[in-house]
Amino acid sequence: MQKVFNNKMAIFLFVFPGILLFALTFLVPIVLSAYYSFRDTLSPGTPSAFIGFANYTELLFHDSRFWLALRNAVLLGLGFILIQHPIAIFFAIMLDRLGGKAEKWFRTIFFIPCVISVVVISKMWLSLLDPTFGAFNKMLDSLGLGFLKHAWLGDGSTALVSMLFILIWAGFGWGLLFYYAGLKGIPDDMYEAASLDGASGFRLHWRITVPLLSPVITVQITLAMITALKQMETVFLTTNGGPGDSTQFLAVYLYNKAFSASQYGYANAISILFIIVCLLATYLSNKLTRSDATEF
Amino acid sequence: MVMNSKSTRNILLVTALAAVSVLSACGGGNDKNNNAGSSTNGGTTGSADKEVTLRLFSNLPDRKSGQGLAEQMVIDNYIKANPNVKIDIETLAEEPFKNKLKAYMASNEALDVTMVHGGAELNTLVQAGYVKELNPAEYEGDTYKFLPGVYKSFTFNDKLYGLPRNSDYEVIYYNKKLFDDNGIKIPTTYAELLEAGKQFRAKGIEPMSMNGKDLWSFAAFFQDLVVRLTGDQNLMLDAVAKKKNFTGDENFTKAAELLAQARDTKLFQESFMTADYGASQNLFTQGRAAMWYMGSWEAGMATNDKLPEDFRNNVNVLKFPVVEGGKGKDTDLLAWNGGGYSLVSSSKHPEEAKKFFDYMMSADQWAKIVWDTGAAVPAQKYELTGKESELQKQLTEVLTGATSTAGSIALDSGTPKFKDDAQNAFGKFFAGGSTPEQLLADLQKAAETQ
Amino acid sequence: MTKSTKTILWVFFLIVALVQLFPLIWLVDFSFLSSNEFYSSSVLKWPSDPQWQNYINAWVDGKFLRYFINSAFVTSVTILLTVILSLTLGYAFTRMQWKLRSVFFTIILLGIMIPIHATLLPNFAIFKALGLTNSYLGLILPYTAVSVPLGTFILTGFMRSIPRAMEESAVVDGANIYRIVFQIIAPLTAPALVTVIVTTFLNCWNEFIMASTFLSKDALKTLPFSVMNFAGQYSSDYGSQFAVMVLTSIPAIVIYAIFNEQITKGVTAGAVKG
Repeated sequence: MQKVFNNKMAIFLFVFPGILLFALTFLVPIVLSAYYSFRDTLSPGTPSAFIGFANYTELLFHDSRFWLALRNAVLLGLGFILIQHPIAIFFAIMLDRLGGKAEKWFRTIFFIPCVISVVVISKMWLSLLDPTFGAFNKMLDSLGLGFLKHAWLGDGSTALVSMLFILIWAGFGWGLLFYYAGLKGIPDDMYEAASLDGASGFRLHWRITVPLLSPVITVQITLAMITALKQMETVFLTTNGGPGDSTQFLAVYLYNKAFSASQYGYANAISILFIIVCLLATYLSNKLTRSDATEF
Repeated sequence: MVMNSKSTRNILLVTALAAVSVLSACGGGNDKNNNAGSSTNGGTTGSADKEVTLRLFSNLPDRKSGQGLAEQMVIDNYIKANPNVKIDIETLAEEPFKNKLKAYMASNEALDVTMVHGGAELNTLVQAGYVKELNPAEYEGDTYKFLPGVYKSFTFNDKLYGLPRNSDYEVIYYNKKLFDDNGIKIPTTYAELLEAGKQFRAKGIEPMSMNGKDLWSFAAFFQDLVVRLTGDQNLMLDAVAKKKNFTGDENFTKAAELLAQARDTKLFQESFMTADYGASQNLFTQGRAAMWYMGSWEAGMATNDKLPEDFRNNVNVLKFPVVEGGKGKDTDLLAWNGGGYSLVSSSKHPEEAKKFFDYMMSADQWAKIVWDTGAAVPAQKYELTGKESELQKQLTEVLTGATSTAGSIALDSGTPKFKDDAQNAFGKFFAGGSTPEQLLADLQKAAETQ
Repeated sequence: MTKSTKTILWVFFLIVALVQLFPLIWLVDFSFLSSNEFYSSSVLKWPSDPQWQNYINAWVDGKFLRYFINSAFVTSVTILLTVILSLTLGYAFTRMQWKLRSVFFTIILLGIMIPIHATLLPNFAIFKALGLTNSYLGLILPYTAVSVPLGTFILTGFMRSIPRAMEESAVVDGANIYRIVFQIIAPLTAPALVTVIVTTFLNCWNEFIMASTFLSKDALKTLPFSVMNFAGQYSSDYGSQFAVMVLTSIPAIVIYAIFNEQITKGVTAGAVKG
């Protein structure tokens, strides 16, 4: 028994390819990034100079755009946690109660946006929210709400909220699926026991369902934070961080610094801080949500 | 992803380890990249009859109309004359093109010929050694017929690194029918322009379409205003070069105030901040916007049969209007040479690439074809065919009637960082409603920290 | 639940589903219109003169078939590699006895948190130095690398809940370690594998930033490029742009419709056991 599980050759064969691939795509690039983050250069291959921590001090103490990008990510994460997830939990509970063929059908429909490519989602929503030909404003018009018509993504004051809306639409199905799956794991006799105690409706769910879902919720909250921090494609393809930085996110900012502004060293300093922020966020959200959650 | 505290400890450990290995791996990283570059250099040089495939990278994805068609025709001509040569064309739309070219530069990709943007963008390529120096003497004379002064954005430290493909200048395209049908006067002064904007807006027509997402048009618009106010083509270029200040200058302050008027009277279309090039063009070509602020390279609209005929018959050109009390004339033209082509240093077929490049840039190829197809105004001398579209004739008049030209666009005359920061300043100004003073302060900072 | 509450619930869900699907309905509707009709004031518009030409443009100039085959190939190989690597890694982390186990496990899990955009440019340089750009491998390898951490995470969680009895009796029967992993453990983890396959499929099928940075040969490009190329090529033709968006969305929706049941079952089983 021990001999089989101690098989060094097997361990090597099992682990090495994965680790090698991982090293090539993550570790070596991070090391390279860290190297460039201490330099002032337009791009790899151009003259570069060692400038110590200058990029980092500039970022941390003088670059309001960096902090704005970080703030937007936190706001987006909070939006996910406080809006998207409660809705998803609510729908999962309702769906679970519905039963029958309808349950299956609605579950299928709600997930469809999740399989649509981000390129299509971005272009589609850009058109939907377009003030000249988009359906959204036309709909407001036909509902007699024409005074609300707006350049939703084009106005600094509504762009971030619109972005949150798009991302909630696109990601809602995943949250629903996971909460729904979590609910299916709660044995029916739990509900029966609780209803014998006189709990019903909202109270029943508040007292029984939500606590029992907490392992799923914990994972989902951490995931939501990471998703918000890593947000790139949808923003890049719709507003590119604009207008006027109102939807700026770290990944978009670093991409534009590396490519458009040719501040390669600086962009790599953003990369390194970005990675640190992601790790910190994971650590913190674990700490905060771990009250009674088990290891997942 | 919930992890136990042991995993968290490990994460911190790994991060620390990574930090250590960074310090020890510093030299290695750079070498690696340089090696990657040089290994692609040692290609074969093709003799005349050997089969070669050249790689051309271009920002013209539409190969059936406009400049893309012209480029394709030059390539087809070359292949016909040189059957041993194949040309592999990769095309991307403007913004993705710029990003991809940076990635190619970073990895020293063995392209042969690439489209380049003069000024800041090309400067980066030059510093990376990615594009080849050209000998200007070779391009003198009757084969090429380049107009005087067109190399400005392609010359760095007195060395030439690319050839311009067009004479670029900003104009206002307008839809005559929309003006006539609504009884609105075609503006000749800035106040009239704003007034026309208000009238169109009142009729539910977008006055002027703008590719605000791409941001650079704002900077050009601002530069136009500065020139109209002062008659001085160099003022803004000097400010970017830190010889003058954006702040505390009454001309810049006035220009920024005029720009704020355009913003506050809603001269641009409602969707202007999310409109990229294509979207802004679409609004205009579909007859939904009365004007479009864009460069002379869109002459092809008049002959593009994909566009509504009604539009093609009514598209006209307007010079940027004068500002009341300004010293500038409407013949002070914001003209420069932006787009062009360069030879790539890491080319595997340098001789064949140069042959093709020279062929493409000769006056009877790109310059002639782009003019004959009505796609753009070349940077070389061209013959009138007599079959020009009305739009082309008007564009020619604007150019030949110019009493002064800028030579370069201020946004591109600094570093890429300046361009990025300045664009961001305009973005903030138009989306967040910051004050003219704030805009100038941001531009000043962008110029100082570039 | 009473009949009436059920009906209310039903109607409520129906409305939400309509709202949820509306953007897609609108997309399909407008893909049949000519560019000029886009600016009419009605929210939806019956295409009295459906523009099939839009779809012909999308199919031909969007190079739909070419890109579709590329996407299908890249995604299938990535899924296969991800499943094998996640399975072996997961097994090594949960069952095998070795010293650096928890360190390596943590390293792999970091991959879930590290944003790929932070490593994009160095990645490109490395893959190019290895001669992998401009080949299918140039996409398959990074896609696999990005998918393996999540796959390993899902599978380790699942494997911990599998009793060891089966493996022990297999060892007694003289089975070697490779047979145990691929013939005994793999079928047992099937529900979790479904989750891995689905997430990997969706991530790769729709991936865009890496594909656009790493690939230049047109013959290798994947489906999202149909849309990207089109935006430049047909910038003045919204109808065709919409048609190409509809066309590229269909394969994923069809695949989802076919495997819908397994996906839910897989995720449910995975979530419960995890």
